[in-house]
Formats: sequence, structure tokens, C-alpha cells
Amino acid sequence: MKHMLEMIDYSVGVVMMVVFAVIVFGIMNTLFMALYERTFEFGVLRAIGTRNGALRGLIVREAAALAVFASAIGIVLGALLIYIGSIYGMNLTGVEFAGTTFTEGIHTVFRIRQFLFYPIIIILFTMLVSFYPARHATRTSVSRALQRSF
Amino acid sequence: MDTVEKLIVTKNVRRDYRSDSVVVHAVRGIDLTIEKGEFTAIVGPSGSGKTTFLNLISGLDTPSDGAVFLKEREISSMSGNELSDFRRDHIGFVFQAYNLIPVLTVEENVEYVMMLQGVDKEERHERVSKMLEKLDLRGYEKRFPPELSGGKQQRVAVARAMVAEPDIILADEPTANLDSHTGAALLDMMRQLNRDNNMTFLFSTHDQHVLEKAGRLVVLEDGKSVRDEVKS
Ligand SMILES: Nc1ncnc2c1ncn2[C@@H]1O[C@H](COP(=O)(O)OP(=O)(O)O)[C@@H](O)[C@H]1O
Ligand SMILES: [Mg+2]
Repeated sequence: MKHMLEMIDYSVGVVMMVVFAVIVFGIMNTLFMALYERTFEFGVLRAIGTRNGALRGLIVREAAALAVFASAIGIVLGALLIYIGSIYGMNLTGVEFAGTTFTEGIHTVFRIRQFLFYPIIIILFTMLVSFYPARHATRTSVSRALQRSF
Repeated sequence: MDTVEKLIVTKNVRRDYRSDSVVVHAVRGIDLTIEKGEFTAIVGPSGSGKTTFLNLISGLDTPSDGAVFLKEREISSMSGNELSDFRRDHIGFVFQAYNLIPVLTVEENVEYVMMLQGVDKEERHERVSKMLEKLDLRGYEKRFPPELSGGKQQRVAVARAMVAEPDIILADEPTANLDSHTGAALLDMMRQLNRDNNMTFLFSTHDQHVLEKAGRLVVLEDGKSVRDEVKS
């Protein structure tokens, strides 16, 4: 049984890695779209004297703010689910699992790791990932960014 | 004695666009001198090179050949932060439309360049309110650009350009998205700022009503200056 639970821990780790991979592409895609929409706007900011580095800083900070906001929502929802799970649990009485028969229901347990470690990792990852679209935004020439059919 | 200050000098400036096998000669050797305090219109049909030429003057684009000087500094050879800072401190911009950052208030839009320049908060607010007063935009400080009419948005753009006290304001078809009455009013306001503050303006247009208000006309055709006349 102990082995079994360790296995579950391990598979949670694997799932998290897959989740991160999805997140990286999701963030990248979302940021590219969000930045593309504002190509002209960024062109104006650069034309009137914003340094490229400053614009990249703005973009990375915006991504970080989004990640913080999204993590906060995730934490609240997650905590709520765990709270409900810890009260009501899941009735598995009589169910056999890995040669063991449950004699009582299982209950969710609050683990600090999931509420601190993962959100921080996600926020840092988002910032890291946002460097690429940010750099892209300052690569196009200003005159090109300002070209726009009205 | 020559007392006029040569603000902008372009020397045989050219710009070719190359794509695949096609070469477009957008600007084909323009020599132009703009003196301080001028109110000059660049006129010409669509595709004659107005936008390209203005972009070369402001350093938004780099000439294929020739050089551009602003106050005897060669802007066409600058790049990176040097160029960004140079534009911030010496050139004001008004574009055709969508000049303003929609998520910032009118006040914040006008303040922006001064923030880049590191002007302190108190002075920024003082200058912003003076400028908004001049452009008849009192009471719109806290509004967001999308809530304003096109004419008012362009006035905010002029305020933003003016407030940082540049050497010259470049405006690429600033009235193109306005009806002729509003466009004429915007031009009158620019002309007033030109007279009161000796602010140099260089703008492009193909609107007859607008070019009538210019102090000097530079006519472009196929990337060349074909006429240059100073009016009264
Ligand atoms: N980025 C570009 N790539 C290729 N050709 C361009 C580009 N920008 C402008 N041109 C061409 O250069 C010429 C001058 O354009 P432009 O300066 O925009 O003229 P105007 O502003 O007077 O309408 C046109 O023939 C236009 O098609
Ligand atoms: Mg044009």
C-alpha cells in the first residue's frame, strides 16, 4: 500500500510535467496573440522614445501579473475543493485496491507544496516563457509596426 | 549673417524597399532643409513617399543612401537606445490615428514621455494641465481615449507631442481620419502653437484644405521633391 501511494506521488510529478509543457505552449500562444493585437500600440510607444528593453520589461511584468492573478484564482478554487473533500471525503468502503480493501472513505489533505511550490514555479515559468514573445515584439522595425491599413 | 537655425537637413536621402526580385524606390534622393519655426506641409499623392520620408527624418527608418541631420547630429547613423532617447528628447509624433494608449487616461498619455525623461511628478502635472488647457482639453484629464471623438484624440496626440518640448513635431497625415471641418480646426490649433511657441511642424497631407494652411509646401512625386514653395 505504501508503495502504491509513492507511485501515485510519482505519477503526480509526471502529470505536473506534462501540465507544465502544456502551460508553456499555452502561455506562449496566448502572449503572442495578446501582443500581436497591440503591434501598432507598441510601435507608437517605441516611436515616442520607449527603449526596447523597457518595452520588454513591461511585457514580462504584464505576463507575471497575469500569472499571479491566475494562480490566486487556482489557489482559491483548489483550497475550496480540498476543504469540501476533507469534510465529505469519498466513500470507498469495501472497494478493493492493490490487494487491500478500504474500510473507510478517503479524504483530501491540504499539502502546502501544491499551494506554494507549484504557483511559484508557474509564475517564474510564465516570466521565463514571456521573454521570447517580448523579444519578438521589439524585433520588428518601428516603421513596420506602424504600417497599418486604416 | 545667417541667423536662422537649420533644424533638419537631409542630404540626397534615398530609401529602396527590396522584396524578392522587386525593388521599390520609395524615396529617390531628397535634399531638404527645415529651419526652426517653420510650418511645412509635405504634399503628394498616395504612394509618393511621404510616410517613408518622414520615417527617415525621425529615425524610424534608415536610409539606403544619404544622411539625415537634426541639429547637426546625424540621426540616420544612430541605433538602439541612443536613437530611442534621441526621439524621446527631440521629436514629437502625431500619427494618422490611434496615437494614444487606450488603457491610459488622457493625462497619463500626455505624461508618458515626460515619465521616460524622468521629469518629476509635480512638474509633469503642471505641464500636462497647461498643455491640455492650450489645446482646449480641460475636463478630459481622466477620460480614456476611446471615449473621445477623433478630433479630440488628435488634439491629445498633439498635446503629448508638444509637452515634452521637442525640436520638431512630425505628423503623418494627422487629419486623414477626420472630417474636413475637424481637420481644419486641428490644423489651426497646430498653427497657433507654431506661432505662440515657435514650435516647428512638419506634416504630410493630401488634403487641399490642410495644405492651404501651411507656411511652406514641399511637393513629392514618385519619391522626389518636385516643388518647394514658401508662402506668406
Ligand atoms: N515596407 C514597405 N515595403 C515595400 N514597399 C513599401 C513599403 N512601405 C512603402 N512602400 C512603397 O513605397 C512607396 C512610398 O510609400 P509611402 O511612403 O507609404 O507613400 P505615401 O505615404 O506618400 O502614401 C509606395 O510605392 C509603397 O508601396
Ligand atoms: Mg503615407
